[in-house]
Amino acid sequence: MTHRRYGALLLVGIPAAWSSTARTATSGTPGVAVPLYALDGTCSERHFPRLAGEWAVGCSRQGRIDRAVHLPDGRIVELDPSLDPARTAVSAGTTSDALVLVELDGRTRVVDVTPHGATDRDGVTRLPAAPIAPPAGAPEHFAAALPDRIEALAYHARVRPTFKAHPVGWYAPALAWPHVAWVERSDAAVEQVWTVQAAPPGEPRLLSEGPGHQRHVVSDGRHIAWVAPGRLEQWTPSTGARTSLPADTGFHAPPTISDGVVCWEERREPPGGARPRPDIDILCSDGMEATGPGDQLWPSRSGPWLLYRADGHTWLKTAS
Amino acid sequence: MKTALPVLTVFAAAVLAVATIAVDPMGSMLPETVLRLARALAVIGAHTAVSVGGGAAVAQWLRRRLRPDDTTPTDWLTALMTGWLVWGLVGLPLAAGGAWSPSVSLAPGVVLGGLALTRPHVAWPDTRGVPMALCAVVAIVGLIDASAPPIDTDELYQHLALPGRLLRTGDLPGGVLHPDGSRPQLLTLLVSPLLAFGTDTAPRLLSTVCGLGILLGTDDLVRRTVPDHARVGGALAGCVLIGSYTFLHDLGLAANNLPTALAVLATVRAGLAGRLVGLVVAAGVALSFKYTAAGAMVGIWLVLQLPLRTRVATGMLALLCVAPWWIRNALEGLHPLFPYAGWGQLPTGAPPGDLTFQYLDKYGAGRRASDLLLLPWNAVMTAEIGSFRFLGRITPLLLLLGPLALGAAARTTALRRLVVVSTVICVAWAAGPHWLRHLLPGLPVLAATVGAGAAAALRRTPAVLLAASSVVLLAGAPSNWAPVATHLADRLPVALGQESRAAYLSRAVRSADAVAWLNEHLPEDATVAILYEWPGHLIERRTVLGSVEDHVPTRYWLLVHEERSLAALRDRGVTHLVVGRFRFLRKWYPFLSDTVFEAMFEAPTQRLEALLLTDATLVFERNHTRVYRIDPDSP
Repeated sequence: MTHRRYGALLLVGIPAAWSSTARTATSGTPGVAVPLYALDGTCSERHFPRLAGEWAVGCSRQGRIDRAVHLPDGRIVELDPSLDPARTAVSAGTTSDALVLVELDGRTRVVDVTPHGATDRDGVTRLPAAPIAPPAGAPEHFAAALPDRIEALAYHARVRPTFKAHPVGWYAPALAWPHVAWVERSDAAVEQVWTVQAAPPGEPRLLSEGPGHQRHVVSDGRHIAWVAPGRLEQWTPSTGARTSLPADTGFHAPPTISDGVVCWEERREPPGGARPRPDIDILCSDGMEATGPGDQLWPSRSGPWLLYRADGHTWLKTAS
Repeated sequence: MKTALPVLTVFAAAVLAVATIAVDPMGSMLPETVLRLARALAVIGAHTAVSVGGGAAVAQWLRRRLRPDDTTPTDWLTALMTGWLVWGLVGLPLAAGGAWSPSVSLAPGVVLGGLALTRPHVAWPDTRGVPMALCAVVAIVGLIDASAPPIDTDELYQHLALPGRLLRTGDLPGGVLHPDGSRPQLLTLLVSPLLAFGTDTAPRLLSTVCGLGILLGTDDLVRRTVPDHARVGGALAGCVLIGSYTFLHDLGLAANNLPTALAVLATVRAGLAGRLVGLVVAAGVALSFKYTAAGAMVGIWLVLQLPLRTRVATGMLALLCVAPWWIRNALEGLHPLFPYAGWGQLPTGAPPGDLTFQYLDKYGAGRRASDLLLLPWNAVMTAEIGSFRFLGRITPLLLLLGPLALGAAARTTALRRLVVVSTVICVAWAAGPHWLRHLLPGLPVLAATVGAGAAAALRRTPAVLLAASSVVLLAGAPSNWAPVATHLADRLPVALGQESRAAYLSRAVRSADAVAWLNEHLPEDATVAILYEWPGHLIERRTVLGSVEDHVPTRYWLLVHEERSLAALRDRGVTHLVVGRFRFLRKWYPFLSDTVFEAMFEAPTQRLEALLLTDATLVFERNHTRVYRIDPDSP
């Protein structure tokens, strides 16, 4: 593993209005969206690049995850060997500047990243089969969807409780330890959200069903959110509280959630019918949004930061 | 006692062979893999046998209508071509009437098998002159390649997808939603029973059978042309074929190149021998397989030693064999040569601008006069197997032997006629797209010409000729044989069953993961439109569109239907989309103006991306291939 330090100018572009000095164009400038050139490479799995804690993680070449950017100071940590975006999850670590990546590709690989570098953990539990979707990660736990079950456990657990399920591939499970949620398809071919408590082990139960597809389940470690027709649903396992907000989303990227704030792609009619079709913008439940010419896609939210793709580039916006 | 020992030996060999595979602790070849291959071999064997037997009976009957005293046996290639043509002509009304199915696909075979029971006389090829080593190469390459899963773009979107679709729906595909199906479908009708009963290995073994037939037929042609130098000439002709990547690459592929090459060879042999039935039938088959055989047909008809009226009559009869397919297109309101022409006159509307099926300038090394002068050199020496620069590779032996053959052309009439045919083949190829695979239908005739000609030119010093040829053949080996060896080495584990077919497909075909997902999750009655992707054969659902040259069908749909493109698909029953992330690179089309490139290539692609965001829902993505569900309320 190697790490390098770049000036902010190498990492982010300078929007015209902010080009007077280099320091003003840092990634922490409130209300400003800047291109994040360091993560402009196209990942083979479009859920990346994405944010976790103080980090932006993505690809620079060959579509594989090979780079993590520490947003507060612009450090880049190269990840070598690189990771497969279709089999990798990212989460914030136990400290504010830590990042954890977990890749399930035959073996379980866990990488701890700090601004000083990246190290692989030893002795991580291996799963008996290949997952059918990207895993979900947390500092000390991970969850994976296998063809006939859900696995949720600590990285070094010796005992693997498994939960019989039929998750739909591609949709990553969501982990708010000890609760896991995932997407299944009903006999009527309608997508539903299921959940189970992993410790102490419970029985899987239906969390949300139709009418219409319930899909794209995500978590920030404490809350679980998913897409339902015309709205976003949010559930806090620790309290059982459940909320809902209107949204026309779920047609492309999953929503993203951080500290209970949800961001999502929204189809919106452009003002004055400027385009012949709806415009895709990113909205957040705390009022933050990414709008502008063209479509804003693939949101990823972490704390004050919002990462998204627009016009073929990766953009980073900081909350005002 | 005399027969007991041989029978016992054969029995012991069979038991030992089964035991060798069954008890192998390393699992070098799984029993199910052996069974799959044996099943495919049995099916292709039966298919070929009834085609030859039944075809010989039909050809014999036709010849006796022309000359009642004709009792000569039917040439084996003529018999095979006649059998194939009968298979197609019997099958066409059944398939056009929507009655095709796995069991019905056997009907032409049953008819041919019944005719074969009349025990017609067949003149079998003389195998004494053909080096067995060359046949072994063809068999080994073909068996390995055909045993592994299909991954070639053309076989996935066309040569396996069309017969699979025909078997699934019972109806001949065609029209704007299945443009590939509007080409002559003789090969599709031939291949569908192979696919139905011999897995996807049997259709590809058809190419292997054709490869072996080409070796035998080429050797026979050389022997008839230069009987005194047949041994050297035949060996050289075989080396031209075996020394060429483009020939080897097709040996285990579901494609029309080698069947067309065999049909062209059959036409040449019948034409030079003055066998009218064989000439007409083989020419009809060749043109029904691939229109690029037309160049060779012109050359053959030029050298026929027949009265003009007979030449015209046989030519018309050969075209009559292809005519049903043109009539079918016309009845459906399409240009007879659709999808090669007629995109601007479709009943579903004309796209704005000129939607060209194929840009000739895109391929090869240029089309200026100087480029065409250098074409023989460039096509042999500077071709690349992975780029539009000829997309293939052939042995430099052609450049060594070709001039010798030209020099020897004056020696015999037979050689002179062969040189004329070969020259026309080369000129016709130069006039078309500069892809070496398009030269493949004429390559056996070219090989026979240069082999026979060079052997005649250096008839007093054959050792020198063979030594010089060996040097050039070996010099061409790294660029011709190494890519084949690398390809086979990658496929050998899955061909033997050591690697699973799903795992192999996942790493070899970029859309395979998406296809596996949709095969598992989409409703059985889903209809999938394939946009900017190729995997039609792998999708176990009803499909529409899919790739042809430059993704013309997808671009046509987007250009004509504009903002309603996805809604128009939904109106035709499409529920899901498989969409590739595809980018037309500007450098591929330097001959187009910026305006045309933007309007005909970039604009439809960008429109699709925008429509996918507003009218569809992404349900899966892997390796740049996406699966969408069309929104029910899209405008």
